[in-house]
Amino acid sequence: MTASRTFNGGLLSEVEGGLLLQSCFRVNGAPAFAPDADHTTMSVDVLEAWAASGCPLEVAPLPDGLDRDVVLTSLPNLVEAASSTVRLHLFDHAVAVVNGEASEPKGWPTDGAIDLDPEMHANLEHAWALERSLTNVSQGAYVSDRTHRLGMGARLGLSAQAGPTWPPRGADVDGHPLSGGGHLQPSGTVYSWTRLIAAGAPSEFALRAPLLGGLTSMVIDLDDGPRGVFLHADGHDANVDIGHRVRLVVRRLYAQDGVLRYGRKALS
Amino acid sequence: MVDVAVVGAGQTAFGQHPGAMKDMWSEAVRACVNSVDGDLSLSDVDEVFLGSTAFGGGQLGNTAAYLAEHAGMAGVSARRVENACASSGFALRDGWASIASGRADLVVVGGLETMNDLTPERKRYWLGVSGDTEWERLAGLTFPGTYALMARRHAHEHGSTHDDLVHISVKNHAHALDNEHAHLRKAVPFEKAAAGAMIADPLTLYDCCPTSDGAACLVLASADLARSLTDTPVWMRGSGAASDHLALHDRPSLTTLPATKKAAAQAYAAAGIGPMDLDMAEVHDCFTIAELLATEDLGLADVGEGGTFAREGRGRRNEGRTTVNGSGGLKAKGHPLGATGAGQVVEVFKQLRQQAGPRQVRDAECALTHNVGGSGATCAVHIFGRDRA
Repeated sequence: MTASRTFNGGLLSEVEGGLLLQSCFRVNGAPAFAPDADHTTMSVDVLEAWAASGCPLEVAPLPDGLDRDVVLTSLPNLVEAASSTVRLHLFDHAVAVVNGEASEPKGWPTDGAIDLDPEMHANLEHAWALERSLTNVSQGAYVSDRTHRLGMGARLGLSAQAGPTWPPRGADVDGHPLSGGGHLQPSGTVYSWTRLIAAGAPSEFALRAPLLGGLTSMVIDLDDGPRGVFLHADGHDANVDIGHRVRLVVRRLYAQDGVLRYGRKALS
Repeated sequence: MVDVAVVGAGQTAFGQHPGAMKDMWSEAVRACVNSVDGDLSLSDVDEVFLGSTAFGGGQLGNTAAYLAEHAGMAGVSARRVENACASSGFALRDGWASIASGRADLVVVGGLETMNDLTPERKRYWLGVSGDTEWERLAGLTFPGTYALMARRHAHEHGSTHDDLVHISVKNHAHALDNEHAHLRKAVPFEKAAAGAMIADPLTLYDCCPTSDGAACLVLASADLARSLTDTPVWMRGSGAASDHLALHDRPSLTTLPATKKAAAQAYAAAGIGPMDLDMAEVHDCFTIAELLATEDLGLADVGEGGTFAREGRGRRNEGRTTVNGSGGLKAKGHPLGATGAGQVVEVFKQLRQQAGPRQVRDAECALTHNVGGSGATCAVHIFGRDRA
């Protein structure tokens, strides 16, 4: 295993035949997921690293334990092929993409590690569980399951309408097709930003915002042109300013109707 | 077109109202009817336009019928007008249009919101319903955050400072001291406002309007009818309204509200005046940065000079050319969403009739109201005059 480097908020290292991404978060010295990460988000991260290294995005069928829709929508070029020897392996707070077999990581890098307060971590886990329960009902405004699913391609894969226009507007009066704008690069520059106290957070974030100490939101000028509004990824230092470069990574956004909903968040 | 005048205007106090929705509305209607000089029968009303976001969902559907009947206007054509915080600004425009077009002679325009009968949690849920739900709200934004993004960008592009915003807050709190209807009647020293608790960086508590209950009611009449009801009608000289992209990410700039500019241009053109002719302006300062942007977009200050305008106190009552938010504005008078636009006209009605008591703007003859929905997706601008030329 080579020395690790930071990629999409995780610790990336080369292993025999592939790449290993380990969570950089620790609770009492033990590895833990970022407050808004899980195996699904880390799978997207490591596959983006795999693609960035020049490897084709063709892998054996994805393992159980992932939200397949999220992974496949986030990576529009990903192909599942039964014949592929490149496999995704899920480990304890780590994911590897390897041509062949992979073994459990033997060590955890200490450089770049972020310690989470154990109580906060436990409370966040509890908050996610509550948020995912069917009794948790958002009030005042609501994104239906259909609307959410229709927007997944744009939210996760950054698919744009011709223009490019992002987020896509849906069918418009001029009949412009929903597709045709390609997939935007997940990177951009901060146009403006704010940090909202927990009491001002939308109801979808009401359980977790107090634990996170508020929410940092940014208007981002995407490198491919359009502008978007994004949250900062949880747990990482949100020390941003106008003009800063950010990368958009897939993370949990919130849960609704018992289902986790994912989207892109900014990482400075 | 038929000339239209405001012949009556009244409101409840804005703030914590102990009564129910119907009580509040009745109180505003009573105050409005009492302000009409001549004999007015509500049974003669042709149309009712009621601005409300129906905050909290207490009476989400058929709000106008529910309230019109209760206030002695059963059977009258009534509808709720909803454009977020600009609901009653647009109700006013609808009322004006129905008379100007000759379709009606006597119209009641109202606004109402009950906000403080909800639990804090439920209240918070409802405060974010008028922005872009799918992309902004789920990026963590409610309106404090949205306007904070505008403030930070304005500071970046034009060099405005948080102190400039503090000057607006201090001014509007000072103005509200003389307003018996204001939610927050307390002077706030500059140092205290500057050190307010952070809400949405860079906006602090003193940059944000309160959450208010309140109702306001206006009676509009056609020219002939107006003259039979009063010797001092307040004429509606110009009406403008516009909409814009709902979502911030669709806007080319965060330092201007195009809907304000477009609505103002229409209103100025209709009235045949410019910003230099205004004695007073009641502008939509849900956050202090909103007033700063409004002074630029309405032409009271040059582009990028809103901070200087505020710092130099050019909007202070009877000090600058145009008094800005002499009532205390949304910041201190209060902001019962759907009632705010009609409430601005209540202030104009009193000012132009020289009935504003200690907060009277000297020789006020020409006034403007500016009512914004959400972060600028909708805007209604109206211009009023004391005498018809």
